[in-house]
Amino acid sequence: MKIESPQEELPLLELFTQLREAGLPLGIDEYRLVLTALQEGFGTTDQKALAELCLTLWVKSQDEEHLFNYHFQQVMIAPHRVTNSVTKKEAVKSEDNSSPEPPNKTPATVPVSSELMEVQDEMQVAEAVQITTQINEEITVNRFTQTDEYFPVTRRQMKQSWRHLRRFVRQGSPIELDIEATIDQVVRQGVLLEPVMIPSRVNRTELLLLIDHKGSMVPFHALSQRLAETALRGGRLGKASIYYFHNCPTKYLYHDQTRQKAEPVTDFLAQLRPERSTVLIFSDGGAARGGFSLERLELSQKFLDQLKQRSRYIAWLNPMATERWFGTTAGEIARLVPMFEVSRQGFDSAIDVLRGRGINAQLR
Amino acid sequence: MVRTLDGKRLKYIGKVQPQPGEQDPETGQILYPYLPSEKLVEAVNLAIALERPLLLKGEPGCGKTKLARAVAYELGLPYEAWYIKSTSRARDGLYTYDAVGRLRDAQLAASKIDEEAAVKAKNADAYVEWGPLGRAFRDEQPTVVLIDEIDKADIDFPNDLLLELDEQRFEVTEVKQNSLLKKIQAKATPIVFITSNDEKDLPDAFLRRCLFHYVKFPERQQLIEIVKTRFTVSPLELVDAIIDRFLELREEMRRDKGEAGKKVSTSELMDWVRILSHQDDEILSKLKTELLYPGVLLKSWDDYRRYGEQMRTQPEA
Repeated sequence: MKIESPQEELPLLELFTQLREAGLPLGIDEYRLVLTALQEGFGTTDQKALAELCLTLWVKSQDEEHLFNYHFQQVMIAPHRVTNSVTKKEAVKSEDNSSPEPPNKTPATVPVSSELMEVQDEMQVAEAVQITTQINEEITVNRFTQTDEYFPVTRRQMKQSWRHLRRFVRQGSPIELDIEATIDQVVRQGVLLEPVMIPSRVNRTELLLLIDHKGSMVPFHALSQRLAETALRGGRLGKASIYYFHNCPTKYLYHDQTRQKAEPVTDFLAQLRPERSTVLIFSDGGAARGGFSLERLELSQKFLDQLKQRSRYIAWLNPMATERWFGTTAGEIARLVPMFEVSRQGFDSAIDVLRGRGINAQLR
Repeated sequence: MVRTLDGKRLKYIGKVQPQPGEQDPETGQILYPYLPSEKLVEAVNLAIALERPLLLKGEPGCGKTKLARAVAYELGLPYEAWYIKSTSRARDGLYTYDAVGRLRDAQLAASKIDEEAAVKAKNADAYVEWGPLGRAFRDEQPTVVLIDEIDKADIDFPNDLLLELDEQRFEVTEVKQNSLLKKIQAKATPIVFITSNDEKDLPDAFLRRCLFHYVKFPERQQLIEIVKTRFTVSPLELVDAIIDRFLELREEMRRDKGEAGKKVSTSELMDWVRILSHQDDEILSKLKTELLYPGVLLKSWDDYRRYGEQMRTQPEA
């Protein structure tokens, strides 16, 4: 097996390409790794061993494993798909012995992985976003492949942006050496008795993410899910809490999507701490359906007024593009609170507001 | 390719086990046999051959942490464990610099209390203390390094380790430019195992450089093997009964809580077997009707009430 042989001779290339298209973050380096391993004699005994090898090298989570198994099945096991010489040999060999997969397990009966389910859901959103933004050729072409990239903000970008949301304070037990203070003390006392220790810096920003759910927000559920997920897991926030509401928070906010666990808005407001609580609202503010509702505006205003008394850092993320706010309730709400569309720039601007920057630039 | 001093290629087979009661010569801890699955053995060898860290995930108690020690034992290599805390910083694993000690020595020298301190304080090298990775890099032999529960630390932590794991070198910033300790380059590639409990997502850049293996919960036969190698006294019939009861409980918990919930694990099984093997002869019949010593297995009040009580309410049905 030679690396410098022509392209058709490259082993596993089709599998690699398919996995890449399916969204696995694989690069040349990962491919080279497999070649090196094959040269060292790993994964060459049978097809199962080969699958194991690729799993270890290319897959980094259990979710990706489902995706991998599906594509491995398609490329390597379904015989008519086998194209290159090495894989052919592998396939023949395993058919001679015992096929690791039951023969009736065609791709159609393979259980749909969670990724594929997600893709379906996200397609809805993609379509919704597509309608609101300009028609983009690439979006249509790549809809089934680059699962992350047609989204206005990718998971990774979200995580990166969340990380800007920080306000450090020294908290906890003293574990770091404060050199300045120690020297001061040495100067004062003339001798070093003991070093001065201080607590390490921790992010004490508390994020309260209020998510509009159901109704016109249905197409954006995957997006809001992703917002919540990245805030909870990817960010380095002191604390992150997710709340749900429908259209506008009135009397209650809910801890769950099914709106079973309610918390009165008054309780919610009471727990806010002005110096550290930041509130991000994710809602279309009526822009998805269009039209203007005075009632909705008044309710939103009432809630926002209460909120402003308890927190200095409030921003609104709107899944609809800015052009679509005009003449809708959202357009009016945008006068009350810094509102941004969901795009890389919009998300970053919202985070800036939550950090206490750029408020004036937005609210003129 | 990681090779030992005599140029032999390292290969882990997972069959060389410590004798009962054998102790770790350094820590004095008792060493137990480790029975890896075939896939795990292959993953370990792959990590050794490709010189990449092996990232291990899997439910708590399935044996992620113990693997590194077992590999070190079988290959006869030095072993370094780095247990990550929420306050751990990447540099701690490489080295720490005792700046305070140096200040103190300088002070002692200045006040003429300790003449020797003056010499020592002048020598910046003397205050470097190596961390687990630092020691591994400086060792002539490949060292097995365990980085345990990496997801406990700050999310910047894994990325801060990238250069060190990739290029196997680092600099000690505090020592003088011409010091021998300034630039540390690994003499032998360490074999690195990293465990994660999936509490936080690891950065993509970090994941890219690791090999990944999901440690699955042992099958019934494997569990029996584990118990047999660990407890020589238990009669086979009893082991069978205990494991059946254990798996039954696990299955029940899986049904109730789904895959994500906390289930009883192998480490809890070990404790349970230890307790049960000291019981009287009627233990076999008792096992069938009640969950003996549920406190060993069930660690939340909810579970305790649910599974501990339930057994008592259905006698010989």
